[in-house]
Amino acid sequence: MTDKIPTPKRQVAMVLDLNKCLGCHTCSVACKKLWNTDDGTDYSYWNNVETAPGKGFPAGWQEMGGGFDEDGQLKPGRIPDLETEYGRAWSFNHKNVLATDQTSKKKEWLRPKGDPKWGHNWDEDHGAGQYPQENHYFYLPRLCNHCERPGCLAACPRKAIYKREEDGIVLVDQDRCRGYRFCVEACPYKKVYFDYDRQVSSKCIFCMPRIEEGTAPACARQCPGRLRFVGYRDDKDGPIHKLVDQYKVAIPLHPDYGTSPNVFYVPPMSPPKLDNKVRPTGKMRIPMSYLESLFGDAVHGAMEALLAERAKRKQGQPSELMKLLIAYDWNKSFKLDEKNREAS
Amino acid sequence: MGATSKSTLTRRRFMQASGATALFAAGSVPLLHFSKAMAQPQKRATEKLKNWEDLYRQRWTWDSVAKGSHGWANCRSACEWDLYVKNGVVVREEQTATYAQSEEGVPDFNPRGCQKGACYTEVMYGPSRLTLPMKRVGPRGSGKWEKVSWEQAINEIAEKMIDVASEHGADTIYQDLGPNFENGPTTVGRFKFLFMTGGTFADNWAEIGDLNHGSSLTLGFAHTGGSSDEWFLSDYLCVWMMNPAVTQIADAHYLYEAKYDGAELCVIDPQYSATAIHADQWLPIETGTDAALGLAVARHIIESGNVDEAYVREQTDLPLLVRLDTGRFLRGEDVEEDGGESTLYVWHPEKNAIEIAPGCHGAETYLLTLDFEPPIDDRFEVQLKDGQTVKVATVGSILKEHLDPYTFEAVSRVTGLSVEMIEEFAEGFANAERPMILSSWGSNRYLHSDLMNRSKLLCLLLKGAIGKKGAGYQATGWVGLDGFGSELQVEYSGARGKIAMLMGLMTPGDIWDMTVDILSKKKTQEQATREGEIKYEEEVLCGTNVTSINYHHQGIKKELNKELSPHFPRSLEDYFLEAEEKGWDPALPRHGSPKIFFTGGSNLLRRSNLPQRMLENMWSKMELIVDINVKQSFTGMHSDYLLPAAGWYEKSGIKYAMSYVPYLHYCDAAVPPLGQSKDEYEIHWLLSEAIQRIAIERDTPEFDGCGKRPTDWKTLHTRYSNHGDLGPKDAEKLCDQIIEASKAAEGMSVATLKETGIAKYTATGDNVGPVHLYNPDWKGDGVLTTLTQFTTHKDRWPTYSGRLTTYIDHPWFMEAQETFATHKPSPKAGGDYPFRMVSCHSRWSIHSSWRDTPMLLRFQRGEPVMYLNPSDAEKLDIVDGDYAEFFNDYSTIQMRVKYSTMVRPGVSFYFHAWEPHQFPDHKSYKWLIPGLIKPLHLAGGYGQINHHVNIYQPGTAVQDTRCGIRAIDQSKVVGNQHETTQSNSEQRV
Repeated sequence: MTDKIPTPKRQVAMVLDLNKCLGCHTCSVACKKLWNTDDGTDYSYWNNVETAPGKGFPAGWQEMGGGFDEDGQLKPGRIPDLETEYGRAWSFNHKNVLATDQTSKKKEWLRPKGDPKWGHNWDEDHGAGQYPQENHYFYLPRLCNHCERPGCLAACPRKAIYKREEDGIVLVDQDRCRGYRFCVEACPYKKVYFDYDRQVSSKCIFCMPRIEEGTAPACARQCPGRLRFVGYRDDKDGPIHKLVDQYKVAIPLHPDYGTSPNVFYVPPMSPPKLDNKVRPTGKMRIPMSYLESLFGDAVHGAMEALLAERAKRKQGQPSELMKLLIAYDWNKSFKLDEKNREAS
Repeated sequence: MGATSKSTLTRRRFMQASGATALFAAGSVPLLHFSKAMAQPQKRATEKLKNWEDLYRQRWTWDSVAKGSHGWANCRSACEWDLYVKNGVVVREEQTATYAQSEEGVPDFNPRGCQKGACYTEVMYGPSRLTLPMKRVGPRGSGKWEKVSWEQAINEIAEKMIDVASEHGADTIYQDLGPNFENGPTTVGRFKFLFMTGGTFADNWAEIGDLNHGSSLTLGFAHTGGSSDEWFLSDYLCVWMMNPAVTQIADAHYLYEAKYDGAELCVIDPQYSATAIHADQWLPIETGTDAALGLAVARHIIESGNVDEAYVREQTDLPLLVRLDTGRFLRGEDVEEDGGESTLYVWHPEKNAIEIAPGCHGAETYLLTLDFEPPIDDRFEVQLKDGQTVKVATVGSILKEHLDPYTFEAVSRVTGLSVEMIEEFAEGFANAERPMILSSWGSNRYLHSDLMNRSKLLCLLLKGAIGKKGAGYQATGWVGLDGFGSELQVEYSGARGKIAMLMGLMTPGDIWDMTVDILSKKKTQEQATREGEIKYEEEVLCGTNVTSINYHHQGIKKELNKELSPHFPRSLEDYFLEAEEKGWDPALPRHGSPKIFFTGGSNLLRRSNLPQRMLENMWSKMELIVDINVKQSFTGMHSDYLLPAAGWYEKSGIKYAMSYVPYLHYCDAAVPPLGQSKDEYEIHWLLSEAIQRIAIERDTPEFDGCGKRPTDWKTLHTRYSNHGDLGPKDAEKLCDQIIEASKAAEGMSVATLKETGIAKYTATGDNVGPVHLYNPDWKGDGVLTTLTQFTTHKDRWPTYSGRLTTYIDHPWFMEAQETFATHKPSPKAGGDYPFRMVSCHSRWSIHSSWRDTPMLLRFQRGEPVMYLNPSDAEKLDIVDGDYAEFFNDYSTIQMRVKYSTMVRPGVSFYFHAWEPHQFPDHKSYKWLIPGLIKPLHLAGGYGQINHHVNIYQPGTAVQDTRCGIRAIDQSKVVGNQHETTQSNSEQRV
């Protein structure tokens, strides 16, 4: 089944520079406001930002299976729990708090109804490690990877999931989908969500209508940290090719999942670890072993390239890579083609 | 596995729902009600779709787009947005992102705008939005309201105001100045109304902990800093008591881009903050010991021979001579019969004699220019006018002695940083070409914050970095929109109004004297302007500060005196009495406590320290409290009238003019005000009209304001409306008048701003009010650098000595041993408890705006949380997410705990501005915080040390607070109603 995925003519892709991420979640809000305010998907975040190390969203997604094994076979996965792993879109008691008798002994205070167990940013800034020697964290924004070999697509018995020929965007056909949720199980990144009202699956569409008109996805264009680059994989002059293929500083998350993502990350540098006498050591706080568990072996080369280019600027030498990552002219972070979609 | 839904919603229902989502996004059903027009979503049928993908394409559509911003948020950034309107509702917003690069080689500002701006629609259409005038019908805070007509509300408020002003005086009408204000017509309306009624304006800069006294003491003003793209040009960036990744989201990218460009990025913070995670050096400093670190760096700069001597001689007080017998400056009155008090001296090496210090107030001119090299590290003997010979020393030589104890080793013991770490930081700083320190408003919340900031500034001035492009001190500057200040004072539109205003303030003789002073270079133009402003504050404006009002009326005198007595030579009360006696403290209102409180630009009960005392002692004496607000706040809940203000996308406005992004940001009215809400300009128009009508009916006599200027309420509306030129719906017209009267907005108009949203400022504006950019050459081109008026043009600094100040010989400072910046330990406010309560501005709100917005609460934990290091929490047996009890001598409160390894052990860390009604028993952490007042900030009579809006006034320090923490039985949370799993199933999903 997995061998039959057609290769699209072109592939749109994104690079996220984790050294610039502020953890502000403007991307998530931008995405949510545009696509995901309905009842059935209000718990879902096509784009989320999680604090790493951490359980993330849904909690423990990295342990839930899915993706492909070394033989190219789909690995079993599971559907996250709404209460304890995604977390509901809590509703609140404003009405009771703002307009009821506050002089009585049992005052209600403003809070979520029910007793929340998890939320999409529940472990914000939690991190790991002992203060001040090695405590560390960074922000990891995540969206659908629009993979070369999407687990979701491979798992769908209805063939409701397809990869668009013109740009490689992976979509769940909302007409064909019958809500079996094999895709939710199969996606190792847990980036397919179930719409509980409509009983169908839904996922990031890479802002397909915007891409069609040459506008970057909302998460990228609205990012005040200016850390996202959008373009086509095959565009040698575009930012994606340069960062992924030329400088090799942008690498996929969990290559071990076997889906070949089209979303790439520049791995995070961090201030030095301290020894027991609070003296700086030569090592970065975020353990390379941890980064390796996320990004695979390629993280070493990417980090070395990044540090070497930055060292050049510190010594006053030019660096094309640093120039690119600085994004002097922000509009150039996005290189898309304006296409005239067939008018409907 | 996984949740299932028994939803019976059909496909068709989804189609309908998707159209309605903008309005009822994720359950944000408005509390009071919406107008009916809002409730009907446009129906969409699948038949109209050609294929299923069109379903999504239809979502990215709109009927119209307007340019807007969040002008009324007290956010230090500014950003312009496209507001997408569909079916009469703003459905979403997206950054316009049309800023240009300031100059070649500097990254542009795009896209600007954070997650809060990206969902203001959720606040505007959210569950606490107000849309109808309401009147309290139960006791204050009872939550019992009735809907009333605008006419009834306005008339009742007007009647009551006349009653109270007749009985107690107009200066018992009270409003604090913000902090939610903008520079457009609605805030002009709010301030003009208060100004013309003769009520008391209380500045809250220092009370909210935002006033940089250290900067005022050193530079002569508090708000300084250029455009944020200047950060990119530094080679040694020190983020020191600031957290831009959280509080300056639109600008933070420049830090990391500067790092990519080769700059060293250092973050000094007890917490491993969101900014620190990307730093080259993170210095995990012990809370409240920053001055010690700064002084160690300063010592190292001197010791390693990295002082910029030419700069220091010319721009700073280091060459000034100080008498060693008295510790005071050598003054004209010491050495000459008719010598002046403000004549200060340096040593002239060629003449081997004292010489009047260029630029000092006793010098011939204000120019700092030197034609000799006065020593900065030497001692001499000088003969006084009485024949006595005294030893004098340069400030530089005393400073060197003063810094002597601040060795790396000694400072390591105080700060908890290793010697190696301090050395690396100091060495980098000393050798940098363009060191820059980012020190935000939040850096002013310790009792001794002024000492910390003076220390940082000392490092910079030794390096010659202040007033140098790509270097210096970034503490938030403002571009001056002088039209804002003038429009709230004028009584006629146009030039006639401005001339009348000026003539009311200055006699022709004053104007002549001022002109002569400027022409003869005795006074800089800015100095003359500022003297005019001081005169205005002293003789016209009923201005005071919130800290003083609270001290006198909140019932906290005894406690504050007890807290502060171990730390100063005299009692706080003693300092207050002397300040009042000498006229340094405005002491308003004159007769008793405030009787009428107008709120809406602020949330006083939410933000005040010890609000329990305020409710008990001040609130009970208020005869009328009116909240003019877009939404319900804690203060609003405890008011008498709620007047619904138009939402931020429903009225004309100008975002206040920060220098970070030197563009004017226009806020257009994308949609009409919701329900019966009205913009504040119109509300005050109606109020002034009613007051004038009733005052004429009653033949109300003139009030004497605050004793400075009489105010006749029988002409109140005539004056407010510029003698009838401005009607109730003329906010946009007034906006044009503000722009027209502002030098920094040349060529702009509302009509063009509606198209572009932004326009680059054309100058920095007058250096009045909070505006102190001091770059007369900047005309809108290039990075906005600051303070070149002193460093390039050589004008004197607005300080006592006319120079950058390290040494202060004001008697109070000498008595308290704060002549130089020094390290003093942080006191234990609230009692001797193990945890330091430390706060930061929030990522998720701008103060209490957005604080109760469901969409953003879901990005948090839905409730206030106290951040603890897991090692502390585990020792206390507190599970992540549980409620715990926080207590000290003032109160006990309950809130949830969140684990975070970013928090320093021993610190109880919170992001601020939660509404008290978000805590059990409606008691926030503010119930524990006394808010220490530094007595020296009541001082006056010494150049920059004088009570002044935005520059110098007493404030309250919250970061020195201590608390204890204990685990509690979760069933014992006050007022907790046990919730069953049933309540979960009631939810929609």
